[in-house]
Amino acid sequence: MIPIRYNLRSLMVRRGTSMMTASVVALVVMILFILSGFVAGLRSTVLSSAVSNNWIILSRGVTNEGGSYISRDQYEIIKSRTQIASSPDGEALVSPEVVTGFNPAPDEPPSKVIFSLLRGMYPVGYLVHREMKVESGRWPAHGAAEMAVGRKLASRFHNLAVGSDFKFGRRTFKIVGIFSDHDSARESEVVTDLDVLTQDIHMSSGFQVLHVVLRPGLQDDFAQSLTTDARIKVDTMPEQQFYAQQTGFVEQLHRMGLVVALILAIGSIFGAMNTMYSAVARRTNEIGVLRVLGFSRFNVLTSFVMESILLAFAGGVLGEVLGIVVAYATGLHSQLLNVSSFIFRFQLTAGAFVSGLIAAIMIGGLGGLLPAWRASRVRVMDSLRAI
Amino acid sequence: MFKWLKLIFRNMRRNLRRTALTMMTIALATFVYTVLVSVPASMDRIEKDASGTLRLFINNKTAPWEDLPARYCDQINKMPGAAACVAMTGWFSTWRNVSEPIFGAAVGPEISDVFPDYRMTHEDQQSIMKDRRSAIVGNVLMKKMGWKVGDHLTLRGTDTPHMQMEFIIVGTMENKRYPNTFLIRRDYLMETRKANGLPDEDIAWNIIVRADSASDLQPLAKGIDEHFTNSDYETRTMTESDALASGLSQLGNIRGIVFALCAVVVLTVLLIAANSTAMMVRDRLSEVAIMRTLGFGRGSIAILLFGECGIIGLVGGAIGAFIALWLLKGGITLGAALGGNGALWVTPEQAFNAWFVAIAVSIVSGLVPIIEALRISPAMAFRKVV
Repeated sequence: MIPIRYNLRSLMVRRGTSMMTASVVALVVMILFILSGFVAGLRSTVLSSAVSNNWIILSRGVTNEGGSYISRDQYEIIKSRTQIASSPDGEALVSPEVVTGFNPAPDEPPSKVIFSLLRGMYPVGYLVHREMKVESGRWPAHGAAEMAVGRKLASRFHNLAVGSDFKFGRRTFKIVGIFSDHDSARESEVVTDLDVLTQDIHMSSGFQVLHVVLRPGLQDDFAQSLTTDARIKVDTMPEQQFYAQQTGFVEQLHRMGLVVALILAIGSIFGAMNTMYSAVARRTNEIGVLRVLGFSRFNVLTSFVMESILLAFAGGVLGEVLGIVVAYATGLHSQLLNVSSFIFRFQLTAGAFVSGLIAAIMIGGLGGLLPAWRASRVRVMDSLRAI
Repeated sequence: MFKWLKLIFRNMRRNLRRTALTMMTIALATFVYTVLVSVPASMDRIEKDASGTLRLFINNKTAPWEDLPARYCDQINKMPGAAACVAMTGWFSTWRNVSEPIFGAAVGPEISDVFPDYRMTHEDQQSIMKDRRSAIVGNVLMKKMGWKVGDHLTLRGTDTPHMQMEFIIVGTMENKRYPNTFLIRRDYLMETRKANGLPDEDIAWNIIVRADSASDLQPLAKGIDEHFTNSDYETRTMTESDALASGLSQLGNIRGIVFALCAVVVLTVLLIAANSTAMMVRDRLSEVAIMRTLGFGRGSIAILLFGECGIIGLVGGAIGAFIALWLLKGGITLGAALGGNGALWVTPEQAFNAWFVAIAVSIVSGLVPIIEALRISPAMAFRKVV
């Protein structure tokens, strides 16, 4: 095998060209890297709304909370299921909820506003959603026109600070608390008392969704008992499954970004090919010497492919460093981004690092293959004659 | 001039593979750039197109997705400055499966007075009146689903109680603001709701009013909101372009992301092109020296080398921009993200701009290597180890 040192030194000789080619790969890897950080942040925000052993109950065939309807009768039937865990006080851990859209800044021009969700819950809801913690202030009291605001939403909209008043519907609500929910999408929501909210949104005959905590091991039993009961028409599934379904739009965004990155990657393969072809043309007599020294055609082929991969790999590393720098410099990591009503953070994952480097190696390998093939076809006599 | 062109073409053919690879890179990048630039441009155009209309959109003040009573139209019609009023009730549904969402906008016959600019034909209006199952479909949605006028379809509601409704497509609508519209009769929707056990309330999702003149818009908007203050359903009235802007802003930081991506695309292609120009110039260094010795001025050689870069950009850019224009001039829907309003269009001007950027980028890419080559004296160039 031809020593790697030969390739490294060759790359150093053509410093300018090597740098430029590596930078192109770096830019492509950077895009991929930032894209996966963006998607990972969004996905984990949506997924971390789920708590283990928590199940969600929606009316049959509905895929989102807003479109569902559960009547009070159905709620009473479901509430009496023995598979449902209960609080230390003996209360069944079933949280009936109603969600509606929420405009956190009604006085801003419409184009500046992101809509969020307002969730009506009974106090039992704070026991069901075990990860929801009050950061400052307290939870809204039952029957009072009070709201608690998610941490991420509160950091975006300063008019939602604890102690301030907020006009929603025909009432003025008092903001009494800020809550966290281990970075989930719920941190971009607002919660209030269910009975107060239903009066304002003209919905009093039932609820939209039930969140329940099940006793460990009785999940299948619970699902079975709901499907066989003719009185209720509902779907039930673990929260994990429900929130995983909600990430569909994240996939859509991811795919769009990947298409852009892929087209650019093809462009940078062309760039790498250009570089390597010119390297091969310039080193025809070196190749001849290598062949005379006894290296086979295959050795020459792998050597040039290796060189191209080395170059692209360096670009890949550079791209990831660049990606991190850009993420911090533009505040991607600290600032809160939003897509639709989800407020989330840029997230660096191991997967993003690995996939960036793999992409770089692919670009180098594919870009180097044809030029390396040509190098391996160089005829010894012809190349030596050129010296 | 002609003599230069001939020389440039000769030069370009000398390393055909490099020329072709560079051109293809530029074509790819121009394609991506054209499409990306169209995203914010399409958003802007949707808003701007609507800024000249005389329409007001009325929503529930609590939140835009809360209902309003459709009977508000009766009172609004009596207000000074109001020309026509229509109540719209939405219906989320899917066609054959859940991945084919259709948003039905149910309206009354007043729609043609509120939207006279859509020029609904007399025949279309007649056929709508004849059959309550009639639907008029926006051109982009029509194309996406592969429908044609006369098709019968059954849609299924996404919300409980999943009511099914049958429709006949009686007409299509060419417009850029609501190209995904699925316009249906409101009385049909309301009857079906009642038959499926939903509360028998004459609810509207929003109400759209056309003013008599532009000077009536603001007073009318204010008048409507004041009129319904302290009622069970308070209103929030805004102009059509504000309403659309509000919908588009829900997309989040899309605009910034797109601009950042565009910048990266331009930078990437600049580097690739600069690299290949640098290689080209290095190959020609001794040749440049010979020409200089023969008496060619720096200017002439610059024309020759820059001309080559320019033509590569010209051809590559034309390919990329043309393909983008050809694929997307009809518009594609951006899906549910835009609430059914948005579509992505590539216009000839955008394609032309992108083409111009491609040419500029490939000429700029030659700046450093070419100027460097020209500054070397012929004697040095001969001596330079190539």
